[in-house]
Amino acid sequence: MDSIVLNTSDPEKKTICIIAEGSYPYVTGGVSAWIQDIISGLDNYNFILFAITADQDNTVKYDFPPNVVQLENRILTEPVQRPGKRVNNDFFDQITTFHDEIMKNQDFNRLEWIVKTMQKYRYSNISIQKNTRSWEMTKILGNKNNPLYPFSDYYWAWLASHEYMLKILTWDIPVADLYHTISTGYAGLTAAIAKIMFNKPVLLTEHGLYNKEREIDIKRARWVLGYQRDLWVNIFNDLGKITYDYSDLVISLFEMNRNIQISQGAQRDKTMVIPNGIELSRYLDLKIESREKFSVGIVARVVPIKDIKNFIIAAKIVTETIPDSEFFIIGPEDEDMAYYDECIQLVANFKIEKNIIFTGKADVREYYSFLDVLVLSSIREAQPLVILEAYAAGIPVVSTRVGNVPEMLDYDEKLLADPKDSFKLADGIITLYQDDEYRESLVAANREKVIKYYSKTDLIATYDGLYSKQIEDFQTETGVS
Amino acid sequence: MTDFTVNKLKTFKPKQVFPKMAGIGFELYKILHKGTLSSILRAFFLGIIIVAGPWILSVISIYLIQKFAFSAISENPALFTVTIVYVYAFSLFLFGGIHYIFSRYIADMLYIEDHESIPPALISIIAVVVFLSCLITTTFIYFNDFSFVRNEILYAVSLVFLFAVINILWIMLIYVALLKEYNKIFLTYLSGTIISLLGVFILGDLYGVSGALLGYTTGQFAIIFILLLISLKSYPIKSLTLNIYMFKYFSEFKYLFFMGLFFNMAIWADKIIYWFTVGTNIPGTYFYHFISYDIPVFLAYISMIPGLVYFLVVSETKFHTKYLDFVKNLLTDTIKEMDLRKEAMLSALVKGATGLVLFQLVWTAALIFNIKRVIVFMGYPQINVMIMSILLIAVFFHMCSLVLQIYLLYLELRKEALLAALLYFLCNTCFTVTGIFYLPLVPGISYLAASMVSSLYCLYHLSQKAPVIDFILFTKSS
Repeated sequence: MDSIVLNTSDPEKKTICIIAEGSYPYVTGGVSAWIQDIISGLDNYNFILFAITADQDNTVKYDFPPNVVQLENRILTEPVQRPGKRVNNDFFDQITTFHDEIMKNQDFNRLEWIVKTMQKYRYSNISIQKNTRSWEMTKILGNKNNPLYPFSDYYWAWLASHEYMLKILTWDIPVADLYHTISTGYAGLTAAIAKIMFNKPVLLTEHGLYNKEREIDIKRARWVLGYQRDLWVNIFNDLGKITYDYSDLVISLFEMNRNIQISQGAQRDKTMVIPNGIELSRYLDLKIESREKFSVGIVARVVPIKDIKNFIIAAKIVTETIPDSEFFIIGPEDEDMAYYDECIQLVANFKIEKNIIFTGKADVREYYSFLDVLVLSSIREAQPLVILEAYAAGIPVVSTRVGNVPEMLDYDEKLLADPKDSFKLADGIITLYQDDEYRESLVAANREKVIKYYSKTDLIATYDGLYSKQIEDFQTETGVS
Repeated sequence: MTDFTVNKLKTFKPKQVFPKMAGIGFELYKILHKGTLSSILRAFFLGIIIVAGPWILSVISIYLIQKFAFSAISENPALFTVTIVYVYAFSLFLFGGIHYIFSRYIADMLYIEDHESIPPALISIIAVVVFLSCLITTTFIYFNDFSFVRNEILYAVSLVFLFAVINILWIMLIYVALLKEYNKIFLTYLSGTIISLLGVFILGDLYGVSGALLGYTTGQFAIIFILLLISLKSYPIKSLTLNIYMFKYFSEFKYLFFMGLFFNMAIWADKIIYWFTVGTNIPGTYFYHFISYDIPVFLAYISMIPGLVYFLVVSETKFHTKYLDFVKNLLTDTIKEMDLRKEAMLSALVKGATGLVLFQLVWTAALIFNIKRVIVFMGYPQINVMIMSILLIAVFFHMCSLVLQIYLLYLELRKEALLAALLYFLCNTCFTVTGIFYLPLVPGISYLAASMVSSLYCLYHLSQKAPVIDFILFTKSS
């Protein structure tokens, strides 16, 4: 846990605390880029970054704009050094009732008492978890929920899952005029604490859907057995519900996610959709200089979630029809070296080394200037910025059917493939190669759409409006001028 | 957003919970449960041999020497007896911690069935013990003036040898508990004792006390030598290599080392303090004795043997089965299974402990009610009846404390076991010193009080913590 002052804060400006979990400023990607855009675009605010990470070794991947005044690091796996105060019985009684109320009717009202108590007494997670009262509760609930599987598995799952939440409850939260959390989960819980302690407006912007993503992780993990799965899934769903309850605005990038948020417990009148935005000027005036060879590109980190292998297989299929086509994989390769090696091996096995080019981290605009088709082969996406960039640059897109992509591609069946369906992906590419007229019409329509709905200037202006309105509303509500 | 939450799960794994072993008890338990009178007697007799063979034989030897071979040590009978007493007392006082570590190591190796590591461990521990004991005795001799002894050099050399041999003997005692050769072991003890007696008799006549000491040493050396030969059959020593892994146990199991050390220091503290304060000195030496306490202590100790055998053969064996059942299934049991096994283990603990206490209580009471006859029968009519009675009760609590500490160790309540031993030591020291300087001197009362305090401390923690042992094991290993 540390706190770094980066710049002096301007007393004239309001301060926004951005709460990000496992992303900005330590992990690159769509979400982090979005945060960077918001901060640098809104220089009429001071920003405090509240970065939640899993472990110690983090390197900052972004240049902080000058209006970032403070960086607060919180590490979930960091052991608590503070000697544990003795936890009184009343606390455990409240915790027991809290669990009963959650299980009976999803009632989280007692959280307020728990947060205030934890912030006041700073009980360490150890003094709470290694207490006979906790043990009794674990055994009673374990017997109820997990009577047929080993208790020890249940116990470790309980210990691990609650360790983080209990640590978070004792965290120091910086004072700000508005808290903006970029996901539910642990970041959402942090925002709820801020709300309870300081009664300031809280905004939630969800790019993907945190609890859905966690659920997929947990179901994929083979060592999570029996009820443990439900335990983790329930916890993330509950954290989602808590975040929705304590947020004043619940924002999603597109309609489908908004509906899911509502079904997960967000109140409808708090929800709204604000799509991603890109800096149009960077892409609109790119000169299109088509090459002799048919060029296809994918802009993505070489990691499993982007399913680069799917792209390579599709490339192999395309080369059967268009032998001298070229495929560019544009993005850093060092994030998952094992996966990168597998990709290289796959290319070698297909004997298409001549057709596939790994560019590494690069300036995408160089490639946008000549690409004929942009492909996205991901297993999971929210509202990919690369599609918007490609549209602005005048490149048609073929993609897997994930997140908001179908809507962005006008539900055009020719261009959409199910995840992992390399043949359909290849079909889409070949269609665009063969049908020039169709391609031209797509480019024009897409450009129009991106200018109208996905401009970064609009995005920033929208958030500027939301921030100032929320802060103002709260000031009138609480009577502070 | 990263996948860290789930990955963190992988690192949550309970640490290995090491159970101790009670292998020897199982063998005897089998014999016991043939059900005939002769099998019961045989089981208890073999139990005594394993638990206390050399100890009883040494008491008998000294007794026999004083009664029938007095001429051999007539040069200075006190010097001979005190030398032997010092050797036994200080070998336990100083090396008790090492014994605990060695037992633990052997138990763990048997548990993981690594029989290869056992002989090198024996060699290593013997090397350490021999080195330390020679260092201690030579230092001791340097500060004493033995010029009054006939054949001074022979005396010094014999003393160095005897201390080393007795220290090895304690180690061998732990080691041979692994072997099932009870008859051979018994015969070894018997023949070693006869050699000792003959040695004292013959060499004592020739060279005085120095010769007698050498003779005694020869017999004890014969015991360790033959035990080593017997053990070679089951655990052959292939090469003279050291087992450095065993030494890591000293740092890993510091609590065990200190527990053994404190416990042995505790039970010797009053005796040693009496020697140096109210005891009699052999001129020119640091040899002290306090005959009116020393002899009752040795006799009273013997009363502990039936209890220890009962514990080994009945209580510990029954408990150990249930204990392993509980511990080994801890990671795979559902809550109901876990609770059932825990209850079974706790009931075995309670039954075993109460059975033991009753057994020892009846036996101790019987001794106290017949105290005069016992004293006369043992051939020490001069012993003070009150001191003897106090000591018998003290030994009863001493045994309780020892057994309860073993249960604490089984349940991984290391801190409590260590503190019990430390408390025992501190109480005995303080009470004894207070008794000597501020109260009328009643030898043994401080030892009794300290034994009671330590037993109650153990009992309290056991009764508080054994019922929630699942909680303790789970929270300790995370």
